[in-house]
Amino acid sequence: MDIKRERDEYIVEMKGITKRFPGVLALDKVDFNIKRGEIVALLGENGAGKTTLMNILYGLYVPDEGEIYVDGVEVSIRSPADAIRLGINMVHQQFMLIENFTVLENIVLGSKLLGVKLDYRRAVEECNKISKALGFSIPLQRRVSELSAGERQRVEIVKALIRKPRVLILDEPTSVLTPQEVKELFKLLRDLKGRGISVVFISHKLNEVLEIADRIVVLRRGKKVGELSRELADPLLLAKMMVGKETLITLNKSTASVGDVVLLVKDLTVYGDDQRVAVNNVSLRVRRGEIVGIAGVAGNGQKELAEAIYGLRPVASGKIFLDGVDVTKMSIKDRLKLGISYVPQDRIRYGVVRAFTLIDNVLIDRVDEEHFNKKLLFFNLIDVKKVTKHAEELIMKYEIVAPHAYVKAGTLSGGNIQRLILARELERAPKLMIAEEPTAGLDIKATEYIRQKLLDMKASGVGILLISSDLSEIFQLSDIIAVMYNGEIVGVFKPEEISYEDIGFYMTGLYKMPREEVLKRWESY
Amino acid sequence: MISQDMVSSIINLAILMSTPIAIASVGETFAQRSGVVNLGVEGIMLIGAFLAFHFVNVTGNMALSYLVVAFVGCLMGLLHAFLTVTLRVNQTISGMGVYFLGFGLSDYLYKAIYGLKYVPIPKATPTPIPGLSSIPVIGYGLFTQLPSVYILYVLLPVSWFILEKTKYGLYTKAVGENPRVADSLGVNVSLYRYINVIIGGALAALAGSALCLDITGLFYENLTMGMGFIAVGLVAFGKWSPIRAFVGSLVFGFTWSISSTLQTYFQRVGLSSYIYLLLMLPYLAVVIALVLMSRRARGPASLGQPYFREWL
Amino acid sequence: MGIVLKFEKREVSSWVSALAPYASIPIAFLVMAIALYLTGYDPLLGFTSFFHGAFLSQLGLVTSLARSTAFLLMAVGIGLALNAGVLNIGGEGQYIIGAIVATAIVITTQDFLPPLVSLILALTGSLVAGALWALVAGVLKAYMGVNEVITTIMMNILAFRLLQWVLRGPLKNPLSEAWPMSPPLKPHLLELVPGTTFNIGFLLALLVAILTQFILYKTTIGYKIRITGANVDAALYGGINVKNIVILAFMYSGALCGLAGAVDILGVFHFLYEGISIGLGYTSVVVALVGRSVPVLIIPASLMFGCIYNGFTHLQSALGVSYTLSKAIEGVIYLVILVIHLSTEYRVKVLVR
Repeated sequence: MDIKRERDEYIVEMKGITKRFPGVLALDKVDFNIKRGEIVALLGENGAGKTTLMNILYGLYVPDEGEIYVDGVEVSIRSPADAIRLGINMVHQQFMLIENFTVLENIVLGSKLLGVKLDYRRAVEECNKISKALGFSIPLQRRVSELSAGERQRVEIVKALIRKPRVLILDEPTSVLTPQEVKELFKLLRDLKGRGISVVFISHKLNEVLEIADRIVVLRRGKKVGELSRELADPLLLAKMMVGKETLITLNKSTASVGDVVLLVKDLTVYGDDQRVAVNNVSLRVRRGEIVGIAGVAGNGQKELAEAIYGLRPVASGKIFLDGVDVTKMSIKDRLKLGISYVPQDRIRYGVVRAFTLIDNVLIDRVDEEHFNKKLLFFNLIDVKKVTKHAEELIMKYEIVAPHAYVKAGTLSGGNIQRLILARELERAPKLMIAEEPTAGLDIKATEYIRQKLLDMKASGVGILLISSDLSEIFQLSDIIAVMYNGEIVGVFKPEEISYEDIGFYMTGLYKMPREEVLKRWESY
Repeated sequence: MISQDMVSSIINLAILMSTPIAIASVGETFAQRSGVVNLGVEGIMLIGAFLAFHFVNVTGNMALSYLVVAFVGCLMGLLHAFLTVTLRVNQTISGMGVYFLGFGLSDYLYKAIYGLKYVPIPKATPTPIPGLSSIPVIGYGLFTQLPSVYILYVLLPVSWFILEKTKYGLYTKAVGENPRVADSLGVNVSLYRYINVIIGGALAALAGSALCLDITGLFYENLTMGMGFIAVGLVAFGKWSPIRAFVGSLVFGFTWSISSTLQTYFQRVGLSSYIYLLLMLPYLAVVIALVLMSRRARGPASLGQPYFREWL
Repeated sequence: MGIVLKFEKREVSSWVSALAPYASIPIAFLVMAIALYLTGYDPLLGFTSFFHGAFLSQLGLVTSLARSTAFLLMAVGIGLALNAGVLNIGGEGQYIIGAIVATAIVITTQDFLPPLVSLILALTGSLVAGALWALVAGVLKAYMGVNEVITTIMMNILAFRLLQWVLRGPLKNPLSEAWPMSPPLKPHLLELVPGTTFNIGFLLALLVAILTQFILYKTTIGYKIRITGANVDAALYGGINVKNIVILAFMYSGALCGLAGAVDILGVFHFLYEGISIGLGYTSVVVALVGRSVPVLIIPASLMFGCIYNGFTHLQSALGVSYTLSKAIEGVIYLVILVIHLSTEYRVKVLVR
């Protein structure tokens, strides 16, 4: 009798879930339950297994061991179609939206609202119903490629709600939101809870979890380490559970002297992939020994700015100066010679060749360096000995987990590939480094290490352009903070002079600093 | 010099010669919209042509031959789909394999059964459409045509409708644009790719049979002479719309037709050796068309890439 | 209940990787035996004449080696292009162009230049011609993203038509009325075994293979080629001029295919005619794949294919079967290689849940 009542309380029960990927045990006998009408948080640092666990519940992955029960009955979820049929819906961290389709087309995909012919009327009706109930509207006829991150998330939520879910999983939903938008999201979640929908909130951000969740489940390295209700939850206790020891990232910040301007960007305009302006008349500068942090929600032109400075993207108008040299039309090869270095956000795609060995990966942007070359007749040979030695040094210094330097990069775990790329770029002793989301996806130890390394580089005179959607990272590392919104620099500050809240207003475009003020600050800081 | 009759004939031949390429191209458009390139269309066309030839030669039943040919085309498409969608083999390499298989098999079977002779079979005869075919100049060209051309006329609007106005079309496009998203919403990516590739195979085979039954009345080695590859290239040229692909095929058709007319002229004035240069024209026209129209054409975003669910 | 396929990448030793494609041969032969039997030919007679022609007789072995020269040159070139991520199916056309140019050069110079000079000019000319013929496809791919398979096949057809015209026009042998062919070429490439078609071209091919191996794996340009094929995004990021690499890859493979055409004309056929290329370009792609796009592995692969082709010639005359049986078999080999390649790279787990 008791057992049955207990079972009734839970809409979803996951027992003993184990999942292996090549070389790593992602989940180790994890139990996870979802009660009816609750907001339960899955808390853990990057790589703990939270997304993997929910991907299993959503049918994207198949577990190696374990069972899943829905409403007390064991089920086999082999594809998202199965999960959706059971009333489980998921909004992923990377939005699952088709850029070239309209909002309505995206929402309607896979739902049961279409007959054989494309008749959108029923779908439009349902969307309007939901929009009204939730208090916001979404532009049904616009292309997704034109929407901001906040708008896209709203589309994702309507898309999920239209399937009448009983469980809604949200994976790191606040990573693309401004502080104000986070507040609105929380309001929405409480509303959903009131309607009887259970919400799973995946996050690595302690403070948010404490604010919104009824119950908190902590994962660490693939294991469930604890479960607390909100009343009993305490930040230090949770942090300890998450990382295994009390952690706060403490960094040694030295105040070294700032030198000449190493990067100067003047009135830069750059087009994005969709032929629209991504960077709109941006000016900025970075000095030697200084970190300039570009704050802003991802998708406001930061990526295109970084790509244009590095040379991966052509410039429509404006100029870029590296160490006084006009590099606007220069090839990447020549910019590399001048001492530029770039850690792109999409590192796995641009920064590593999985099929190559670690040794060969060291050469990706260093193959023409004299240091690594030998001459034979009219051929330029690769000095294998020197490259191998360098690769081995990197492995040791940055604690890259690999049996030796001859393994293929693809066999390394994601985190280790990151370390490899960062290691390679950090060790090039560049004059200017563009670091785009340098600690995304890394666990606390690695995050601390990389942030400290950036500060050490700054101390040794490197100019760093830091692009990050993690405000705490920006505040922790930057000497100057610039906010980017809609392709423009809308504010320039010293970290001491502004609060998280206020920066959030600039990030949403609510506040905007006039252009003359921006230029004045670049001069005077 | 150039009479109205001559223009009519040129148009007639142009449309006729465009038809096999156009039919194959429409099929390939479906496949590519779902994200799969099938370079083996040439091989499937050859098999289709041979089968149509052999079947008609043995039974004389043209209508039934369409069904048989379409069925075998489905099988060839199924092979390519199995290799690329289920086994995740590189699409280019699998396509080349289908090409080699189709080429070798059709040629081998023909020579094994018929030897080195040319064996003519009764071709289909042009059927005028009452009323439409009396329109001056284009009436003869467009509406006094062979069955496969009429099939094409129906195929074009039908395929446009399916792609743009049905749920099937929307889902196909979704699968080609972003299979991860489609999968996460419960759309069966593999199923849609399979179906579209199979459709492509069936149409390619039918295109081959059209070439044999309506145009040449014969079968010989490499009958299609690159038409299948042109059909694949025209999909990009037509920016993945079946109607535009048809327009592209007209480039080939018209150039062929004009070059054909010039050939008889050359023959008469004693420039016969230069005929081979004229034979180059249609293919040159295709290359030029590809150059002009393929500028950074952006097709379905996942075109050419296999989809793994558990891969990152 | 249902079936889920899981793909796990697996680590294979390079030996397995290199030898795996050869496992397709027995399977292909089995298919061939069945095909022969079903179409009414005697499989046993077929196989004995095949092996006799391929390498069991002295003449057969030498002819097989001669045949493999073209495969070696072309497959090495195609292999380098594959390393750059580019598929050069235009070997056929480039071979023909090389043959045409070589013939033209020799015919115009053979009467007043020493034979050695004629030959060297012809070989060089074929390199340049093949490279230029491939350049068209290369530029289209690099600058406009046009699918190279389609452009190269168009170029193949154009080359064939050009050949047909040339044999009836400028290079026509005035003494042969009905049969289109060129006048006989007097300078011959040095025969390694007198009285056979086995000529010095074979040594040249070996040299080229070794040189290409060196370039690909020891030089910086080779590294750039390989990274372009492995991950073009990373290549761009690294500052590599990908457009130039693609064009270079096309030109290199085109040059080698053109050279193959010249070598065969000057060492084997000694005159130009329509039937000089019978799918060599397409077969060379298969050879390159069997050799994993690695030049030193392509050497044994091309020897094997030389034997297969020669063997089939003998089988043909013994049984009266058309040569295109070999093309069909080649298609089977190709497909089987794919599946084998996949099964060595990935372990497929079938889960029933």
